[in-house]
Amino acid sequence: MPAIHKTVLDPLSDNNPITVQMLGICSALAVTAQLPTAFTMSIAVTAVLCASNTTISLLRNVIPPKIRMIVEMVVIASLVIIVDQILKAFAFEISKQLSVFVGLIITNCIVMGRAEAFAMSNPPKAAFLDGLGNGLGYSAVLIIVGTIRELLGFGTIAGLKVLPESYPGNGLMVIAPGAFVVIGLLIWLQRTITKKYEEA
Amino acid sequence: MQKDDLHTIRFAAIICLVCSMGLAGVQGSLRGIQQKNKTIDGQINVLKALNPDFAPDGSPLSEDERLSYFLDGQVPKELIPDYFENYVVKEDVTLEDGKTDILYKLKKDDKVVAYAFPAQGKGLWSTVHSYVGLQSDMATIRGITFFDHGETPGLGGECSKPWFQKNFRGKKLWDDGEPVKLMIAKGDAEPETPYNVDGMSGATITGNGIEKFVNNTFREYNEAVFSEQRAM
Repeated sequence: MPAIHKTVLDPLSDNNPITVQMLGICSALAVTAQLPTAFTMSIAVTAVLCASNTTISLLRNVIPPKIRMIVEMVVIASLVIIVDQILKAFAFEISKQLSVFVGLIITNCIVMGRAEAFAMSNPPKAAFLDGLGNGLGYSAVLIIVGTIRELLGFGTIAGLKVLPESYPGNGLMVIAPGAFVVIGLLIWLQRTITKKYEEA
Repeated sequence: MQKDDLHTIRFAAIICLVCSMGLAGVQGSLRGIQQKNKTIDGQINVLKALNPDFAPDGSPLSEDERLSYFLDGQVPKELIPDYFENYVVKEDVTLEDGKTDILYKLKKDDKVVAYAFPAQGKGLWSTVHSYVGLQSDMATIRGITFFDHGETPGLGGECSKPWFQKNFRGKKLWDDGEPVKLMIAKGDAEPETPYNVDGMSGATITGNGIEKFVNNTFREYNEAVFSEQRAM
């Protein structure tokens, strides 16, 4: 079905949550100094997105309109806490590095945004695929940014030395402003390719 | 009351109930594993500071094993409880101002091989926690570990990396009958002395913070515990 394709593939590039919709920038800056944290964060956000989209979509016909957003928040918050608890139990080292940012998935605009914009008005299967697509779109950007920052910042990729020992490392890439620069360049690249511009 | 108001309240109540029960269930079922992770994590840090030179069965460890166990923190998880049951003694000590803190002793054949005490203080962004381990001379650093901090990854955050912690080993906090000031350089230490530690470039403030709290905490323990023991 072409529609399914579109739901999953669109957010990867043409409608990417970070570089096109400009959502979820905060965590993209915070956890991308090194690849492993970026990768775990990607999995966590994708899992939460799929689960929250599916749950909200299943409930979409019974959620009272007045408390719609509060209900979405409760569902998302519960899912995030579950993910956080699972990481603490089974991936303790990484969960220590991600520290507060797993909890902050609750405030990640992508999750809330997709619940509002898609899951509330579409059946569960489509909502799940939309969550998956957006999760992967977010992941793609995080992994690209994480790779670039780790490579230029430390000369390593996922902890393995890639650049020669004499490479001094670039301190700017290690701190958040470096992520701003990299994400800015990515957005530029994305929009040059997709020809999608903000109306002035 | 209108009909959909009732529905709203009922729905809110149900969703809250379901979510809280779900969360309670998840937390309850994972608590055991999480607690264990935390305990082991704490114990690894103590062992990194005490840096034992023997396995729990009493046989000596090779230099490579020691580095991988107690510098990189790769000590096999099943050995950890053995160390704590048979060799590590935890004591309460009273420091100045009457505050109490703990002192770990690594004992083998009734002799103290190493001491370790907790120390913490401000880095640049956060409180850095650490255990400082001393040789039986109560002067030379045997092992040290920094953990649980919120310093910048790649800069001050390097303090939790083995390469940085290794720089402290063999350095002195006490020499010639008096405390000496351990200094952390900005980058490579020059000249190389027993009190000069290679630092992290780009993390001067984290280094200064660590320098301050390691020196100060050693002095507190020295006054309260070590000076007495040396006199014995």
